[in-house]
Amino acid sequence: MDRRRFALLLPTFALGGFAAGCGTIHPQVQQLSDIDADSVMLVGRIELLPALRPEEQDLKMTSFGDWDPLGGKQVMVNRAILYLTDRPDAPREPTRSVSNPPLEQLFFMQIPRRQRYVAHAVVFLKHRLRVTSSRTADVDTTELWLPLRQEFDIRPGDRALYVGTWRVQRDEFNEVTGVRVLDHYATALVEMRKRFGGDAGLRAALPRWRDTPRSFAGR
Amino acid sequence: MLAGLAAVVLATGCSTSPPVDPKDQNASLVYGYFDMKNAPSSLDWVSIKQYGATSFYYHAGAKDGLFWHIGIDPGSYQVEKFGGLKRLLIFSNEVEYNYGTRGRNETAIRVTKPGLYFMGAYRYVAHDGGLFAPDKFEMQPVTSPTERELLSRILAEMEAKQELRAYTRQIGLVKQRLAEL
Repeated sequence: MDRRRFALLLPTFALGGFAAGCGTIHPQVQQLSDIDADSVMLVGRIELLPALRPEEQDLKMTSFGDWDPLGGKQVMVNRAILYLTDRPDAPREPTRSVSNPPLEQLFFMQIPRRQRYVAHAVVFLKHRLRVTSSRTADVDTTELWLPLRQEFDIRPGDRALYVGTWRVQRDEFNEVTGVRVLDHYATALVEMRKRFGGDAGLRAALPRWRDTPRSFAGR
Repeated sequence: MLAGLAAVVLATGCSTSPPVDPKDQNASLVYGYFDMKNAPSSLDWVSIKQYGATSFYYHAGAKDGLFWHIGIDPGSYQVEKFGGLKRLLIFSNEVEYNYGTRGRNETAIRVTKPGLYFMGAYRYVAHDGGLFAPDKFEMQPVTSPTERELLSRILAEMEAKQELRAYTRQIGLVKQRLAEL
Protein backbone atom coordinates (compact mmCIF):
# COMPACT_ATOMS: atom_id res chain seq x y z
CA MET A 1 0.00 0.00 0.00
CA ASP A 2 1.49 3.34 -0.98
CA ARG A 3 1.90 6.11 1.53
CA ARG A 4 -0.96 8.20 0.22
CA ARG A 5 -3.49 5.39 0.38
CA PHE A 6 -2.36 4.50 3.87
CA ALA A 7 -2.72 8.12 4.87
CA LEU A 8 -6.24 8.10 3.50
CA LEU A 9 -7.08 5.12 5.65
CA LEU A 10 -5.92 6.73 8.86
CA PRO A 11 -8.61 9.39 9.09
CA THR A 12 -11.11 6.86 7.84
CA PHE A 13 -10.56 4.56 10.74
CA ALA A 14 -10.11 7.35 13.23
CA LEU A 15 -13.49 8.89 12.52
CA GLY A 16 -15.27 5.61 12.15
CA GLY A 17 -14.59 5.23 15.84
CA PHE A 18 -17.74 7.18 16.69
CA ALA A 19 -19.64 3.94 16.26
CA ALA A 20 -16.96 1.66 17.54
CA GLY A 21 -15.79 2.92 20.86
CA CYS A 22 -14.88 6.59 21.14
CA GLY A 23 -18.10 6.87 23.10
CA THR A 24 -20.70 4.51 24.45
CA ILE A 25 -23.90 4.00 22.54
CA HIS A 26 -26.45 2.58 24.92
CA PRO A 27 -28.54 -0.17 23.34
CA GLN A 28 -32.22 -0.64 22.84
CA VAL A 29 -33.58 -2.99 25.52
CA GLN A 30 -34.22 -6.48 24.19
CA GLN A 31 -35.45 -8.06 27.43
CA LEU A 32 -36.13 -6.75 30.90
CA SER A 33 -33.12 -8.58 32.31
CA ASP A 34 -30.95 -6.16 30.30
CA ILE A 35 -31.81 -3.53 32.91
CA ASP A 36 -29.47 -3.88 35.86
CA ALA A 37 -29.08 -1.92 39.08
CA ASP A 38 -27.10 0.80 37.31
CA SER A 39 -29.46 1.37 34.42
CA VAL A 40 -33.02 2.30 33.64
CA MET A 41 -35.22 1.94 30.58
CA LEU A 42 -36.73 5.00 28.89
CA VAL A 43 -39.95 4.43 27.00
CA GLY A 44 -41.15 7.17 24.70
CA ARG A 45 -41.36 8.41 21.18
CA ILE A 46 -39.83 11.23 19.15
CA GLU A 47 -41.85 12.53 16.22
CA LEU A 48 -40.61 15.04 13.67
CA LEU A 49 -43.18 17.17 11.89
CA PRO A 50 -42.74 16.82 9.00
CA ALA A 51 -41.17 13.38 9.32
CA LEU A 52 -37.70 12.80 7.94
CA ARG A 53 -37.68 11.77 4.29
CA PRO A 54 -35.18 9.01 3.49
CA GLU A 55 -33.29 11.20 1.02
CA GLU A 56 -32.86 13.90 3.67
CA GLN A 57 -30.09 11.94 5.36
CA ASP A 58 -26.81 11.88 3.50
CA LEU A 59 -24.52 9.73 5.63
CA LYS A 60 -21.08 8.65 4.51
CA MET A 61 -19.03 7.23 7.35
CA THR A 62 -15.74 6.76 5.53
CA SER A 63 -13.91 8.42 2.70
CA PHE A 64 -14.75 5.42 0.51
CA GLY A 65 -18.33 6.26 -0.33
CA ASP A 66 -20.86 3.92 1.24
CA TRP A 67 -18.23 1.63 2.77
CA ASP A 68 -19.10 1.46 6.46
CA PRO A 69 -17.23 -1.42 8.10
CA LEU A 70 -18.03 -0.27 11.63
CA GLY A 71 -21.72 0.20 11.08
CA GLY A 72 -21.69 3.85 12.06
CA LYS A 73 -24.44 4.74 9.62
CA GLN A 74 -26.97 2.53 11.38
CA VAL A 75 -26.39 4.51 14.54
CA MET A 76 -27.83 7.59 12.81
CA VAL A 77 -30.30 6.48 10.14
CA ASN A 78 -33.77 7.73 11.12
CA ARG A 79 -32.61 8.10 14.71
CA ALA A 80 -32.08 10.93 17.13
CA ILE A 81 -28.78 11.20 18.96
CA LEU A 82 -29.17 12.13 22.62
CA TYR A 83 -25.93 13.03 24.38
CA LEU A 84 -26.22 12.12 28.06
CA THR A 85 -24.35 13.45 31.06
CA ASP A 86 -24.39 13.31 34.85
CA ARG A 87 -23.89 17.08 35.10
CA PRO A 88 -26.86 19.44 35.24
CA ASP A 89 -24.68 22.31 34.03
CA ALA A 90 -23.18 20.48 31.05
CA PRO A 91 -22.87 22.70 27.97
CA ARG A 92 -24.88 21.99 24.86
CA GLU A 93 -22.37 19.83 23.10
CA PRO A 94 -21.67 16.15 22.37
CA THR A 95 -20.69 13.87 25.23
CA ARG A 96 -19.28 10.36 25.20
CA SER A 97 -22.51 8.78 26.34
CA VAL A 98 -25.11 8.41 23.60
CA SER A 99 -28.64 7.12 23.34
CA ASN A 100 -29.98 6.84 19.80
CA PRO A 101 -33.73 6.24 19.90
CA PRO A 102 -35.46 5.55 16.59
CA LEU A 103 -37.69 8.31 15.25
CA GLU A 104 -41.44 7.94 14.77
CA GLN A 105 -41.78 4.78 16.84
CA LEU A 106 -41.97 3.82 20.48
CA PHE A 107 -38.46 3.42 21.83
CA PHE A 108 -37.20 1.28 24.71
CA MET A 109 -33.74 2.64 25.46
CA GLN A 110 -31.43 1.60 28.26
CA ILE A 111 -29.42 4.42 29.84
CA PRO A 112 -27.17 4.65 32.90
CA ARG A 113 -29.10 5.82 35.96
CA ARG A 114 -26.44 8.42 36.79
CA GLN A 115 -26.62 10.06 33.39
CA ARG A 116 -30.04 11.58 33.84
CA TYR A 117 -29.39 14.78 31.88
CA VAL A 118 -29.60 15.29 28.13
CA ALA A 119 -26.86 17.77 27.28
CA HIS A 120 -27.54 17.96 23.56
CA ALA A 121 -29.74 16.25 20.98
CA VAL A 122 -29.48 16.14 17.21
CA VAL A 123 -30.54 14.31 14.11
CA PHE A 124 -27.70 14.04 11.63
CA LEU A 125 -28.92 15.08 8.19
CA LYS A 126 -25.51 14.98 6.63
CA HIS A 127 -22.34 13.29 7.83
CA ARG A 128 -19.55 13.12 5.30
CA LEU A 129 -15.95 12.37 5.90
CA ARG A 130 -13.70 14.51 3.75
CA VAL A 131 -10.02 13.81 3.40
CA THR A 132 -8.52 17.24 3.04
CA SER A 133 -4.89 16.36 2.67
CA SER A 134 -2.62 13.37 3.08
CA ARG A 135 -2.63 13.96 6.82
CA THR A 136 -5.93 15.60 7.63
CA ALA A 137 -9.62 14.92 7.35
CA ASP A 138 -12.74 16.55 8.63
CA VAL A 139 -16.37 15.63 9.01
CA ASP A 140 -18.83 17.81 7.16
CA THR A 141 -22.14 17.63 9.01
CA THR A 142 -25.56 19.17 8.80
CA GLU A 143 -27.55 18.73 11.98
CA LEU A 144 -31.11 19.22 13.05
CA TRP A 145 -30.70 20.48 16.60
CA LEU A 146 -33.43 19.23 18.88
CA PRO A 147 -34.26 21.41 21.89
CA LEU A 148 -34.52 18.38 24.15
CA ARG A 149 -32.13 19.35 26.94
CA GLN A 150 -33.82 17.90 29.96
CA GLU A 151 -33.53 15.98 33.17
CA PHE A 152 -35.09 12.55 33.47
CA ASP A 153 -36.90 12.08 36.77
CA ILE A 154 -35.20 8.82 37.74
CA ARG A 155 -36.06 7.69 41.26
CA PRO A 156 -34.77 4.84 43.41
CA GLY A 157 -36.50 1.63 42.41
CA ASP A 158 -37.35 2.81 38.90
CA ARG A 159 -36.70 0.25 36.19
CA ALA A 160 -38.77 1.76 33.38
CA LEU A 161 -39.85 5.37 32.85
CA TYR A 162 -42.42 6.67 30.41
CA VAL A 163 -41.11 10.01 29.10
CA GLY A 164 -43.89 10.85 26.65
CA THR A 165 -44.16 11.54 22.97
CA TRP A 166 -41.99 14.49 22.01
CA ARG A 167 -43.54 16.03 18.92
CA VAL A 168 -40.98 18.32 17.29
CA GLN A 169 -42.20 20.79 14.68
CA ARG A 170 -39.53 21.96 12.23
CA ASP A 171 -39.52 24.46 9.39
CA GLU A 172 -37.94 24.06 5.98
CA PHE A 173 -34.61 25.36 7.30
CA ASN A 174 -34.58 22.54 9.87
CA GLU A 175 -35.10 25.01 12.66
CA VAL A 176 -37.31 23.66 15.41
CA THR A 177 -40.32 25.91 15.84
CA GLY A 178 -42.06 24.06 18.62
CA VAL A 179 -42.05 20.99 20.85
CA ARG A 180 -45.11 19.40 22.42
CA VAL A 181 -44.97 16.66 25.01
CA LEU A 182 -47.91 14.30 24.66
CA ASP A 183 -48.94 11.75 27.24
CA HIS A 184 -49.68 8.44 25.56
CA TYR A 185 -48.94 6.41 28.67
CA ALA A 186 -51.73 3.86 28.27
CA THR A 187 -50.71 2.97 24.72
CA ALA A 188 -47.06 2.76 25.71
CA LEU A 189 -47.83 0.46 28.63
CA VAL A 190 -49.80 -1.92 26.39
CA GLU A 191 -46.98 -1.98 23.86
CA MET A 192 -44.36 -2.49 26.54
CA ARG A 193 -46.22 -5.39 28.16
CA LYS A 194 -46.76 -6.96 24.74
CA ARG A 195 -43.02 -6.85 24.23
CA PHE A 196 -41.67 -7.65 27.69
CA GLY A 197 -44.46 -9.46 29.51
CA GLY A 198 -47.65 -8.68 31.35
CA ASP A 199 -46.15 -7.71 34.69
CA ALA A 200 -43.68 -5.12 33.43
CA GLY A 201 -44.00 -1.88 35.39
CA LEU A 202 -43.78 1.58 33.85
CA ARG A 203 -43.82 4.86 35.77
CA ALA A 204 -44.91 8.01 33.98
CA ALA A 205 -42.26 10.70 34.31
CA LEU A 206 -42.70 13.37 31.69
CA PRO A 207 -39.56 15.44 31.28
CA ARG A 208 -38.56 18.72 32.82
CA TRP A 209 -37.18 21.01 30.13
CA ARG A 210 -33.94 22.79 30.80
CA ASP A 211 -34.05 25.41 28.10
CA THR A 212 -36.28 26.93 25.48
CA PRO A 213 -35.73 26.65 21.77
CA ARG A 214 -34.48 29.94 20.40
CA SER A 215 -37.05 29.70 17.65
CA PHE A 216 -39.85 29.96 20.21
CA ALA A 217 -38.81 33.54 20.80
CA GLY A 218 -40.61 34.80 17.73
CA ARG A 219 -38.25 34.02 14.90
CA MET B 1 -25.69 31.90 15.97
CA LEU B 2 -22.22 30.63 16.49
CA ALA B 3 -21.13 28.46 13.66
CA GLY B 4 -18.33 26.03 13.25
CA LEU B 5 -15.30 27.12 11.33
CA ALA B 6 -13.93 24.43 9.15
CA ALA B 7 -10.54 25.47 7.89
CA VAL B 8 -9.99 22.86 5.29
CA VAL B 9 -8.03 22.57 2.11
CA LEU B 10 -10.36 21.80 -0.72
CA ALA B 11 -9.68 20.99 -4.32
CA THR B 12 -12.79 22.79 -5.40
CA GLY B 13 -15.78 24.54 -3.91
CA CYS B 14 -19.33 24.15 -5.10
CA SER B 15 -20.27 23.53 -8.66
CA THR B 16 -21.13 26.50 -10.84
CA SER B 17 -24.80 27.32 -11.20
CA PRO B 18 -26.29 26.86 -14.68
CA PRO B 19 -26.56 29.99 -16.87
CA VAL B 20 -29.61 32.11 -16.15
CA ASP B 21 -31.98 32.80 -19.04
CA PRO B 22 -32.44 36.60 -19.27
CA LYS B 23 -36.05 35.98 -20.34
CA ASP B 24 -36.83 33.89 -17.26
CA GLN B 25 -39.70 35.74 -15.58
CA ASN B 26 -39.41 33.67 -12.39
CA ALA B 27 -35.84 34.63 -11.57
CA SER B 28 -35.15 36.82 -8.56
CA LEU B 29 -32.09 38.84 -7.65
CA VAL B 30 -30.74 37.86 -4.23
CA TYR B 31 -27.92 39.81 -2.63
CA GLY B 32 -26.07 40.35 0.61
CA TYR B 33 -22.85 41.50 2.17
CA PHE B 34 -20.26 39.90 4.46
CA ASP B 35 -17.54 42.05 6.01
CA MET B 36 -14.62 39.65 6.38
CA LYS B 37 -12.00 42.08 7.70
CA ASN B 38 -11.63 40.06 10.89
CA ALA B 39 -11.80 36.68 9.22
CA PRO B 40 -8.78 34.49 8.48
CA SER B 41 -9.55 34.52 4.77
CA SER B 42 -11.03 36.57 1.97
CA LEU B 43 -14.60 36.10 0.79
CA ASP B 44 -14.59 34.67 -2.72
CA TRP B 45 -17.79 32.68 -2.92
CA VAL B 46 -21.08 32.09 -1.20
CA SER B 47 -23.21 28.98 -1.47
CA ILE B 48 -26.92 29.78 -1.26
CA LYS B 49 -28.93 26.68 -0.46
CA GLN B 50 -32.53 26.04 -1.31
CA TYR B 51 -34.39 24.31 1.54
CA GLY B 52 -37.57 22.28 1.50
CA ALA B 53 -38.72 19.32 -0.52
CA THR B 54 -35.94 19.86 -3.03
CA SER B 55 -32.40 20.86 -2.29
CA PHE B 56 -30.39 22.98 -4.67
CA TYR B 57 -27.34 25.17 -4.40
CA TYR B 58 -26.66 28.49 -6.09
CA HIS B 59 -23.05 29.48 -6.26
CA ALA B 60 -22.53 33.23 -6.03
CA GLY B 61 -19.23 34.97 -6.51
CA ALA B 62 -18.25 37.69 -4.07
CA LYS B 63 -16.26 40.88 -4.43
CA ASP B 64 -15.36 43.23 -1.61
CA GLY B 65 -17.92 41.51 0.59
CA LEU B 66 -20.82 41.84 -1.83
CA PHE B 67 -22.41 38.66 -3.17
CA TRP B 68 -25.37 38.38 -5.47
CA HIS B 69 -27.15 36.06 -7.86
CA ILE B 70 -29.58 37.11 -10.59
CA GLY B 71 -31.39 33.84 -11.21
CA ILE B 72 -32.93 32.50 -8.00
CA ASP B 73 -36.16 30.51 -8.38
CA PRO B 74 -38.99 30.78 -5.85
CA GLY B 75 -38.29 28.85 -2.64
CA SER B 76 -36.68 29.13 0.78
CA TYR B 77 -33.01 30.00 0.95
CA GLN B 78 -30.14 30.90 3.21
CA VAL B 79 -26.39 31.06 2.96
CA GLU B 80 -25.18 27.60 3.88
CA LYS B 81 -21.45 27.98 3.34
CA PHE B 82 -19.01 30.58 2.18
CA GLY B 83 -15.33 30.65 1.66
CA GLY B 84 -12.20 32.23 0.34
CA LEU B 85 -8.46 32.09 0.43
CA LYS B 86 -6.18 32.38 3.43
CA ARG B 87 -2.90 33.73 2.19
CA LEU B 88 0.48 33.47 3.84
CA LEU B 89 3.42 34.77 1.80
CA ILE B 90 3.30 32.76 -1.41
CA PHE B 91 1.03 30.07 0.01
CA SER B 92 -2.74 30.00 0.11
CA ASN B 93 -5.35 27.66 1.52
CA GLU B 94 -9.02 27.49 0.74
CA VAL B 95 -11.09 28.16 3.86
CA GLU B 96 -14.70 27.12 4.09
CA TYR B 97 -17.16 28.37 6.70
CA ASN B 98 -20.19 26.34 7.76
CA TYR B 99 -22.95 28.82 8.43
CA GLY B 100 -26.28 27.20 7.66
CA THR B 101 -25.72 23.64 8.73
CA ARG B 102 -27.48 23.84 12.11
CA GLY B 103 -30.89 25.28 11.40
CA ARG B 104 -31.87 28.71 10.29
CA ASN B 105 -29.44 31.61 10.22
CA GLU B 106 -29.82 35.36 9.80
CA THR B 107 -29.72 35.25 6.00
CA ALA B 108 -32.83 33.07 5.66
CA ILE B 109 -35.34 34.35 3.12
CA ARG B 110 -38.46 33.06 1.42
CA VAL B 111 -38.62 33.99 -2.25
CA THR B 112 -42.36 33.98 -2.81
CA LYS B 113 -42.56 35.87 -6.09
CA PRO B 114 -39.99 37.17 -8.56
CA GLY B 115 -38.24 40.29 -7.28
CA LEU B 116 -35.33 41.52 -5.19
CA TYR B 117 -34.42 39.87 -1.90
CA PHE B 118 -31.82 41.29 0.46
CA MET B 119 -30.15 38.74 2.74
CA GLY B 120 -28.67 41.49 4.87
CA ALA B 121 -25.24 42.88 5.69
CA TYR B 122 -23.10 41.24 8.36
CA ARG B 123 -19.61 41.27 9.74
CA TYR B 124 -17.56 38.26 10.67
CA VAL B 125 -16.77 38.05 14.39
CA ALA B 126 -14.31 35.39 15.49
CA HIS B 127 -14.55 33.49 18.77
CA ASP B 128 -11.42 31.75 19.91
CA GLY B 129 -12.15 28.16 20.85
CA GLY B 130 -9.02 27.87 22.97
CA LEU B 131 -6.41 25.19 22.79
CA PHE B 132 -8.63 22.13 22.46
CA ALA B 133 -11.90 23.33 20.96
CA PRO B 134 -12.42 24.50 17.39
CA ASP B 135 -12.73 28.20 16.73
CA LYS B 136 -16.20 29.54 16.11
CA PHE B 137 -17.63 32.60 14.49
CA GLU B 138 -20.80 34.58 14.31
CA MET B 139 -22.14 36.97 11.72
CA GLN B 140 -23.32 40.21 13.30
CA PRO B 141 -25.70 42.54 11.44
CA VAL B 142 -24.20 45.86 10.36
CA THR B 143 -25.86 49.04 9.15
CA SER B 144 -23.06 50.01 6.80
CA PRO B 145 -22.90 49.46 3.88
CA THR B 146 -26.56 50.13 3.37
CA GLU B 147 -28.82 48.22 1.04
CA ARG B 148 -28.82 51.31 -1.17
CA GLU B 149 -25.02 51.32 -1.41
CA LEU B 150 -24.95 47.63 -2.25
CA LEU B 151 -27.65 47.93 -4.90
CA SER B 152 -25.79 50.84 -6.45
CA ARG B 153 -22.73 48.63 -6.76
CA ILE B 154 -24.78 45.86 -8.33
CA LEU B 155 -26.39 48.27 -10.81
CA ALA B 156 -23.02 49.72 -11.78
CA GLU B 157 -21.66 46.24 -12.43
CA MET B 158 -24.70 45.10 -14.39
CA GLU B 159 -24.58 48.17 -16.60
CA ALA B 160 -20.84 47.92 -17.11
CA LYS B 161 -20.64 44.29 -18.17
CA GLN B 162 -21.83 43.27 -21.61
CA GLU B 163 -23.02 39.83 -20.47
CA LEU B 164 -25.14 41.31 -17.69
CA ARG B 165 -26.87 44.01 -19.70
CA ALA B 166 -29.25 41.39 -21.09
CA TYR B 167 -30.93 41.05 -17.71
CA THR B 168 -33.10 44.08 -18.32
CA ARG B 169 -35.88 42.97 -15.96
CA GLN B 170 -33.49 42.63 -13.03
CA ILE B 171 -31.86 45.97 -13.87
CA GLY B 172 -35.30 47.55 -13.90
CA LEU B 173 -36.10 46.03 -10.50
CA VAL B 174 -32.86 47.38 -9.06
CA LYS B 175 -33.60 50.88 -10.33
CA GLN B 176 -37.12 50.67 -8.95
CA ARG B 177 -35.85 49.60 -5.53
CA LEU B 178 -33.19 52.28 -5.49
CA ALA B 179 -35.88 54.87 -6.14
CA GLU B 180 -37.75 53.57 -3.09
CA LEU B 181 -34.78 53.62 -0.72
